[in-house]
Amino acid sequence: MKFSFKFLEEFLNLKGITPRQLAEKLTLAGLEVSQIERKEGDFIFEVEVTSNRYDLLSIVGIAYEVSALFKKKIKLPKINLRTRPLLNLPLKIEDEGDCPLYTARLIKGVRVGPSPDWLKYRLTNLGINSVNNVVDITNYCMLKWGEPLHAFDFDKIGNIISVRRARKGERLLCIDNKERELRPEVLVIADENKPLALAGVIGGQDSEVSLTTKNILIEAAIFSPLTIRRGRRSLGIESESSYRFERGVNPLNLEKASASACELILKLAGGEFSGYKRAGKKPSAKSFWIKFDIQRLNNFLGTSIKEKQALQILKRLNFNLKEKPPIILVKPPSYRQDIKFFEDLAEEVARIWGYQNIKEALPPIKRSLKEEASFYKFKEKIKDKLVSLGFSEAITFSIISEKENISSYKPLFLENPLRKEENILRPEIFPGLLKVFQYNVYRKERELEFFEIAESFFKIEPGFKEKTKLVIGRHTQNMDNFYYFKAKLEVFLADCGIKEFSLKESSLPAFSNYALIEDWGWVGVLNKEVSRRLDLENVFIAEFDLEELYQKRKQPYFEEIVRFPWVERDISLAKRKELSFREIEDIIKTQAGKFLKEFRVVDIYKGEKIPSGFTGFTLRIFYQHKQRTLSSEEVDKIHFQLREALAQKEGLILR
Amino acid sequence: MQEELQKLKQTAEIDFRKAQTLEELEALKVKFLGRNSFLAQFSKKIPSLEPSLRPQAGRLLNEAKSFITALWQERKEELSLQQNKIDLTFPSYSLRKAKLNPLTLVIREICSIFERIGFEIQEGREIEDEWHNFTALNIPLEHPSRDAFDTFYLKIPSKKYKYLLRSHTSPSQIRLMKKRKPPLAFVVPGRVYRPDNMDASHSFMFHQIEGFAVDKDINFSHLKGALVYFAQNLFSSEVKLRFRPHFFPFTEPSAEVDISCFICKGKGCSVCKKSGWLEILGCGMIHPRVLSSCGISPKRYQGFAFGMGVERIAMLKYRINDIRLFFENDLRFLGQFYEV
Repeated sequence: MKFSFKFLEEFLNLKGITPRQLAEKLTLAGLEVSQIERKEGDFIFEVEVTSNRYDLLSIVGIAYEVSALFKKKIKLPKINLRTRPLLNLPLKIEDEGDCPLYTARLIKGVRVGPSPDWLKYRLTNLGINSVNNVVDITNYCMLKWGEPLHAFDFDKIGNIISVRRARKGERLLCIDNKERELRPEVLVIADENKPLALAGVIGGQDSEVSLTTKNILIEAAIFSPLTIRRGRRSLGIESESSYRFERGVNPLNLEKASASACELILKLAGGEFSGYKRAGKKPSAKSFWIKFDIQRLNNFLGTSIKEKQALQILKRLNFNLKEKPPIILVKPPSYRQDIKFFEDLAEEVARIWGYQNIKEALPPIKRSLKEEASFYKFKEKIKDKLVSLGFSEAITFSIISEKENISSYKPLFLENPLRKEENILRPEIFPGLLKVFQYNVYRKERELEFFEIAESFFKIEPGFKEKTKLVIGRHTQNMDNFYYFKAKLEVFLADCGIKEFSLKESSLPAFSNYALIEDWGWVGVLNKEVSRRLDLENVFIAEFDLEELYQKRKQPYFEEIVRFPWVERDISLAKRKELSFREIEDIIKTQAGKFLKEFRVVDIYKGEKIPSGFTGFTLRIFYQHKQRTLSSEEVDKIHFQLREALAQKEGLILR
Repeated sequence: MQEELQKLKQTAEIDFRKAQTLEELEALKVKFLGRNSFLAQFSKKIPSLEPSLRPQAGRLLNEAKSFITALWQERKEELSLQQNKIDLTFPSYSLRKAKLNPLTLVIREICSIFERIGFEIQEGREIEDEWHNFTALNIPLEHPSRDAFDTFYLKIPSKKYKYLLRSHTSPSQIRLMKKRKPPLAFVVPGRVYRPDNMDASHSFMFHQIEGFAVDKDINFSHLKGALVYFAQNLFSSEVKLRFRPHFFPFTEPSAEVDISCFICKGKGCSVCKKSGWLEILGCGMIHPRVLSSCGISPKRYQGFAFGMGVERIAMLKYRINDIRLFFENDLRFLGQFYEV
């Protein structure tokens, strides 16, 4: 919003105050000045008015604020609030909830023409176009008093004025030259035939004041903020008027604004005042007496302001005082309907006293000695573990498109997506990692390792669930790197206290391999078609329910390191591709029993000597006894038994 | 004879110095000290000398032998060292370290600063309902003050309050205040969502950190103190703070907080738009209605709350010029940041 230095001077003597000083003081007291522009011999201030200070949407309101800040006296013009003769014009308000008060003043015989320069500049400097002297005066008074006014060409309106809801199908050609179809959310000013204007928003072209207008009706009214808001939003329109009505218009300034508009019209356009009509309640504004307690104030702000100083500040802000010893009561001025509680008083005193004058002190926080287990800290530790294993952290969007959703879970839909296609919350978080791979691969990085911790969301009758998930992924040109990926997963899970886990093969669309890890995770290999479509090569993904992993955390305990030597024996094998290694593992574990320290695959080959459909590899078995040294006869015996058992396995060849 | 030995020693010195490899050196050792060397032959001749000349001959021989042996050992050590020496300046292998997203670095740093002065770190959920996201925070559902909080609504059946993606971390404040009773002090980091079109300084998904403290005697000067402590630890001990009165429906008094621009040190630059100040957060004393919604009596307790946008702070701290970079996760971007 804008205001100008000269406009302000209509209420205050600003001698000795520079625009810069004014801007700084206003900013530090709560009205932020973002820009000062020099224009037509005036200074234009661009300010951000917070939504509670509707009183600052007028020059008079800003003047009150400046008078309090600079201790200058405000000079209010004397206005003749003429309410006689009475206008013989039926005024009907359909619902006083929508319009508590409507007034009209009639001026006959005006000469509509261009405005004098001073009036033009008042408006154009603040971003409002000059139309003609009458329309300009209504806008001028709106800016000055904060009361939107509207001028009708009296000869273009019918015999009654009603303030009612629009009916379905009604249309109105507005003064912005747009014809709008109306609906019941919209409040209109209408005559017996048709709508004349959108109440509190914008006027109609047919009844607007033009150069040929002779008789004018000035409307000054109070409309319900909620009604104006709903109506203008349904039509997708906004105006200086609607902006003010939505935030709050002071009923006590209404007559002043309307009467002063009439006075100015008579002065600049001639004519004669011909009548006044009012419908609805007499303007009034409620204000509350609030108990003022200086000790409570100082406790609240952390200050040591003297009672006298604080009361002085409130007086400068036009508060009323009532002393009922030992209690002091204060009442805010009628234009500050936002002040209701003790805390509002505290803000008024603090901002005029100056926030910068309140000393800072560290808060006396009594830290609870019992530390609540922290999921946040657990997550951060997980991140460090993964970084140490070579995975970088990605942060990707939780909102994705339905098409990207590859999950057995039902997604949750957005009612108002920003872009039509991105309309769901992701039930699995790995799609984000796929995008990260695409992005980096496109920039020629082919070996990628990433992880992300994020919320996943899905439908679960009768409602929904939000779960924290961890996804770990690898993109590589070499499929064999899967076993490095798997190794890192095992090391990571071991570091989370999970030394063993079961893998159960399952299926998921878009994955050529997909296996469940217990009931809290899964690992998969993206299938070739999907990878190709995404311009990716080999992609491995593992996702975990982090809340489950959090429950499984436990402190490690020392296990005695076996000091006895171990013996290695190798076995060369070839296995049919379809045979799951797990079956071989089972045989090894069964045969070697408690003498098995570990086993490793030390060589994989697919050479000529391997029959087709088979994979060749060398197993190295490590034998060790926990309490003594194994003799080579013992090892030979067990190893022989193992070889026999493996030789008998269907699909396995000893080489 | 003495002259011959002298010449031999000199030759040995020159030859040993010339040797470049341990093999060459071994050959030289054989040449000078081996079975067929001059010294060996000289030694054989000694018994045939006159007895009075023998002791001196023996002495000269030994002295020559020791001298040459010493030369050999010294050169051997030198060459051994040299052989194991490598060119340290030769380029190394190309290696990349895995990185955390800088947003995580900033969140960790901010949370740990507040933890030092007593705040506990907790998190909240991302799907919320209108009561927690607006009503309990004194934000009426239909009012211009609501316009600043545009939200993503979800198609989930509900009775009275619709479900949405939280537009700020403040609802988590409400949940914590309902669950735990004063004294309270928490910082709550997390993702928030607003239907804003993406551009260099806006994203529909971003991160906030909410903080609040409630007790019998927590006041506005404590709010200032906590935030000054925070800013001076996160940015620089020289940074100044400016508190400007503002309006939020959930705090009263409210303030917006600027820090002195650490890039131009207050002189004015493109980052602070010549003002010398950078707006970094909003704060205030928790509104009595908000305390009441959580079952805390505003007559007995008071407290402050603050909220900040993590991306904005990260962009100021690291001089990042486009918010979208955080979510692209380009390795060339991630690789630039590390914990200090």
